[in-house]
Amino acid sequence: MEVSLVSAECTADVRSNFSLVSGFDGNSCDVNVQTLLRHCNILTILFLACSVITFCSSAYTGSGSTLDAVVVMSDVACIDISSALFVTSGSALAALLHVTETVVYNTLVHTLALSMVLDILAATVASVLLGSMNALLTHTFKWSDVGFTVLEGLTTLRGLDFQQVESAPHSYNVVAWPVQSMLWCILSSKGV
Amino acid sequence: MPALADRHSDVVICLMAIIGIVLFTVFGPMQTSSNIFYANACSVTYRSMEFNLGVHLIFMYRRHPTLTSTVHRLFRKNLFFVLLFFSTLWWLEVGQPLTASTQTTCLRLYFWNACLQDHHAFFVRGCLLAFALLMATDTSVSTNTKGELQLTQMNCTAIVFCWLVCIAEKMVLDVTFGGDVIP
Repeated sequence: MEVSLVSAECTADVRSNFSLVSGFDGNSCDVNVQTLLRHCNILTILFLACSVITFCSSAYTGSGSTLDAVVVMSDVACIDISSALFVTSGSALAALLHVTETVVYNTLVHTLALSMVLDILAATVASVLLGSMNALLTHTFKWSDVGFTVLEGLTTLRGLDFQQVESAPHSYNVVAWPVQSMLWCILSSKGV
Repeated sequence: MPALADRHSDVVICLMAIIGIVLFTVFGPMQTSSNIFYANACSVTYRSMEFNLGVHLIFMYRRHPTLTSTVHRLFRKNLFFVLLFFSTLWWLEVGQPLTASTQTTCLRLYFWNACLQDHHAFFVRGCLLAFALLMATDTSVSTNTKGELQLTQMNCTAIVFCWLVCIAEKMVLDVTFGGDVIP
């Protein structure tokens, strides 16, 4: 009942402002940014859980794993969750841009982007070291993988890994792509 | 003409964003032995389309108040069933045999992953989940946005470093106990 009242009030408010300014116009019916951000955080944690299950499967450990029974489920969930995560993030940032002042929004975005860049750079160095050691242990070491991981870490662009063949280069830090892509999305959010 | 464009441009932009995602959703599973899905699933170009769709949804949310309030009420009441639908969909895949091979080209997210069937790789499904979550979001005033943003920062760090932690743990266990004990 309360929800209906809020929505009706909201509708009337937007209608009154709509004739004056089309588009983002400043009234009391914004979506709750905190709830949207919470949705993003929940989806991120689910994505993280699915990724960890995938890494513990036999495809990664090299020997039979009891988690193999749920690996397909986690892969399918991972695809759905990652799509939902990006759409929800877009909504959350657009709503945040609307409810906060431009200066505050810029500060928030810069802080978030800087934190992401530092994370990616630190993870790239660690990936090259640990990934190379692991590849040497599993006899799959390739110099092209090392170069590719460094290139991807420095540019934060995941768009070059487009071939599944074993001879093609692949990044060591396979799961960093959501943060790499999100960085560019966040930086372009104000323009969009 | 400018008035017409002003009235319908937001719908056209949103439709174009959706059509782009639908095209990737259709062509990926149609060409199961190609790299279309693999190349786009983690690509910044495709993911920025999803992100832009999210931005447009907020724009539509505010631009069409009557429609929004109706859909809002509908999803607030039925969010449980949407979440149940997705949980069931994922639960159905428990126990599916793995077909992992680095020699074949198939539908998968990462190079080492198991191959998926065509109905598994549906980008639009995730967008529908996001739409349901957005429409079920309440309209009250935010109180602790900063706290949620700090949590977002921590989650991003966790994602970037999770593979490293897994691989480090695997190597420690490998060296300490040998390969057979790990599974």
